[in-house]
Amino acid sequence: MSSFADCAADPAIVAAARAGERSAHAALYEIFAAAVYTLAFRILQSPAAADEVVQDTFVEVIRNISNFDGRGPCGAWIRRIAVNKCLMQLRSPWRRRMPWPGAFEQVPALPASDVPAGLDLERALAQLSERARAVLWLHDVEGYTHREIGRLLGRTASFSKSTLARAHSRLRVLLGEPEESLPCTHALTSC
Amino acid sequence: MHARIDELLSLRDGEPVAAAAARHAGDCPACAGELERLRGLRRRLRALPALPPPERGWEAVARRAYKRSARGRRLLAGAGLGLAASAAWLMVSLTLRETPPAPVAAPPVIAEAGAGANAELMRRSMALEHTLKGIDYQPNVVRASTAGTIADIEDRIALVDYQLSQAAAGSLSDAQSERLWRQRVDLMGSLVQVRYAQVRQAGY
Repeated sequence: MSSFADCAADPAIVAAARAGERSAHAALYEIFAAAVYTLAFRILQSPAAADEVVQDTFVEVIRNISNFDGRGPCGAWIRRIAVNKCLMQLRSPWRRRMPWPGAFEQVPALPASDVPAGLDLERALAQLSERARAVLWLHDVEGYTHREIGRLLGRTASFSKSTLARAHSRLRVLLGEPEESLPCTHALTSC
Repeated sequence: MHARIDELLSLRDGEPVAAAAARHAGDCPACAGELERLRGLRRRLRALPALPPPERGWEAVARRAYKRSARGRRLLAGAGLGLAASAAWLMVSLTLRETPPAPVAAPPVIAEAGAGANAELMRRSMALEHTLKGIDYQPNVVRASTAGTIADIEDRIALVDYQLSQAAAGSLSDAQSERLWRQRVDLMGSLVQVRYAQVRQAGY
């Protein structure tokens, strides 16, 4: 599993972190770093960019945790910061111009029977557009609503919804789903 | 007529959907199968393994996060506080106004862009981003007017970035692209100056 839903910080650790204890800051990093890195890598598909998101996120967490009011889960607060950092990366003109190596460009093709479970999905994800991947991941894995995603992207809930539908259509093709199992999205005739 | 994929996704996610589409998806084996496939895909996405963060990641975070307080103590202990701040301010101003950007490792595409006006503007914009990133100080209290100024500049940069993103699709002429990059450099320069003004007011 790779969602923030699997991570939770002990309230005592959060309280100590708010009081400025560095060991508590390090503990928060231990608890949430993998979730932040996974989120960033799945969206950005670049180890370097994901690493930068992890650093930027936790620097901000440490500097602002004294302002964290504790009304919601600490993980949700950290996730919000991480998502914003990811979207900032997507908006960056440097990122759009840099030929980030795709995560799987270096992976040699394997016979279908040797492909580990999940790798086909990883490859398909890597081939989605950045925005489609971000919407898909935030909605289907992290549980954001279309309204929340629309707001994050400066667009509408409808935009998020249609982007998700397109992402799923594209994923289906990339995953090589057989055409005969896809009548719903193509056929306009009655059953 | 079969349900559309957006309708099936809404059904999967428990969102409102037209009654006819919901009824159809319940009766039609093909649509029910597609709905189940979408549920299965979501399960597979959620089951993808977590990825380990970079080794020594915490050290890098701690180095950046605690740099400010260590630097602040050093400055307060030293005698040349005002002089240091003035010198830093002067250096930044000169950097912004006169000198070419520091020889930072330019992204390959920019490095290959040659000596054109756009390439030079991109380098300057990148250098300013590095400068901005180097300003670690974050005040505990920010004046509303300053926060508004920063937000306004950031919004304008975001707008320019969006317009530049259209250039990637070839919809902007070279002249339009150059004008946008020039705007971006100006806005980044303004943002750096506002942030340094915050640092200066705090006595760093």
